[in-house]
Amino acid sequence: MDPKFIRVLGNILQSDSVADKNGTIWIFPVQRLVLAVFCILLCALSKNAVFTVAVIAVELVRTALLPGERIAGVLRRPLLAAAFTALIMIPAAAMGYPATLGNVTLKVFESVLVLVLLNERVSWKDLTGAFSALHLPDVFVYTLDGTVRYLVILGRFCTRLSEAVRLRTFRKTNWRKSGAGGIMGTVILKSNEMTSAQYEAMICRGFRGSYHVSSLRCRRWKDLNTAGKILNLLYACLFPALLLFFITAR
Amino acid sequence: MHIPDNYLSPQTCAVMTAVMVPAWAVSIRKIRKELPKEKLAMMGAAAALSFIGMMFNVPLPGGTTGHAVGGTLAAILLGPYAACISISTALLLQALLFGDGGILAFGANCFNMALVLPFVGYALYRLMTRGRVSEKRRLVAAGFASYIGINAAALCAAIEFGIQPMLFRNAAGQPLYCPYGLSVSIPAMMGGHLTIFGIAEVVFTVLILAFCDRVGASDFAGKRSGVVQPSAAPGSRKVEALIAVLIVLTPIGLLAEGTAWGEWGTEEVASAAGFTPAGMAHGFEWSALLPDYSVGTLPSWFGYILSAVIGAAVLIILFKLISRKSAG
Repeated sequence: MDPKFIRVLGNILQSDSVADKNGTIWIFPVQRLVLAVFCILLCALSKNAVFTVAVIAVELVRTALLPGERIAGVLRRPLLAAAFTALIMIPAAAMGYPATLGNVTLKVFESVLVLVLLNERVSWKDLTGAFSALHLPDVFVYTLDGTVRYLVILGRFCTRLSEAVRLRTFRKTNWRKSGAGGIMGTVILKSNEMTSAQYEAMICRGFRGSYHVSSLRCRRWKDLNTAGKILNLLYACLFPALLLFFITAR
Repeated sequence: MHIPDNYLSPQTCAVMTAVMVPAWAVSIRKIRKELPKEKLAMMGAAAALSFIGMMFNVPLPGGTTGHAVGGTLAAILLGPYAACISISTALLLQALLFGDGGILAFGANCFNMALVLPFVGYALYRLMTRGRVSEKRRLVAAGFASYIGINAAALCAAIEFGIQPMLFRNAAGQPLYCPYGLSVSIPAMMGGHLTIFGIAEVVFTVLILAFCDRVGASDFAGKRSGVVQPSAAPGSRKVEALIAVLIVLTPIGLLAEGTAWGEWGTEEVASAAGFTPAGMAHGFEWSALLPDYSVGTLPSWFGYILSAVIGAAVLIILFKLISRKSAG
């Protein structure tokens, strides 16, 4: 299995362990999620770089407050995305629109940074809870949940299989070329088998075609103490503040 | 004190950069050898303090402005070698992102503010604090050392400006770059730095050092106590809080109107000197992303704060990444 793929899975799993889990002072994940989407939307709508630069400034402060070992992981993805964007926008600069290159690159950097920092602060469980709180179709949350679960399970299966293939190979060979097809085929069969098994198990437990996200997964207002409530109210004020700033900066 | 592009000849810039290259190399080697790995991240805080300190412009009667640099402060907190690298990085960011200080003149600016200032200041400070000294005497020594340090740096900048008309002229005898000789540049630069700007440096150094003493963060490198504090010591968080407070206060620097001596645009030079030096008229120009710490159409005070936020955050991130790499 590709080490990069394992790293992505590791990041998803790690987000559960490093995300904000303070007992009674936390921001509602749904607020964080909506604010991140709101930021990206306003950035996309902005006609100049002012709003984008302001958001980047705030996000850079949040990044600077992270421990050094997490900063590299956070910045790698936005920088890669920005570099790729700059590369494909070079023709715009060559045609006499260098500002467009700068604007689009900054917007891409900002959007990816906002999402990466959201992933840093909100665990996967809280994120799916937030989707549910936003009344997104349960089947959507189910698909996300199932995808992550099966990525992990099938990923482990894939690793074991590839190790077995490597141990049985005597000569020096690129196992990815020689055994990749076989491994992928086996994984597809295995996934099909597991899906059927899961469906049968769900039927046995009374599954009637609809999937309900447990309310326990959504954080509740009454679990917050006074400081947490004030913090959430202040956080909610960011929405009109951002909108006002967006209108001014336009 | 930030020398813009085209005030110094390319030859002068090349010589100053050539002087700085070994200074940077030695500094990096010394930092690797002497500064504890977990303290490398504190160089970011020192660079951010210096960066923000340079945004507090102080006015001088006659319309010119100047600012503190915090070079001696950084040298006292981290040692002169780390101060050299910290301030060089802050200057690079200022030149690239904010157009403050020239790209070609980067070596000269580093020589003045990242080499002369911290090393002179630190040497004096060490001389005055030999043996056991009280905290009060330490602060007095830091203040005096920073005053001498910034004046030494200003003198170097004045000499670099002043030798241009002596060395580089066209066939008609007109200066090609900075039009003012030593007889003008030295009094003009030193007048401000011996009075107001020198005092600004003293106040900046002493206040921040006293704050660091109080919160237990003044021994960044663990040199005095010999004990290295963990990176997440309460002092470091308080230094970050201090940086945040200073960022909010940066618009005070906008109250000082006018441009610092030797940092004028081409038109201002033409109106003051009566002609535009050829090297300036056809010189190198760099388009910074946030020129003069402004952000598009935003009010200048807000743009100033945003610039300070971006500058401080980038410097802290950069040194945290370097410290992580070194630790790994």
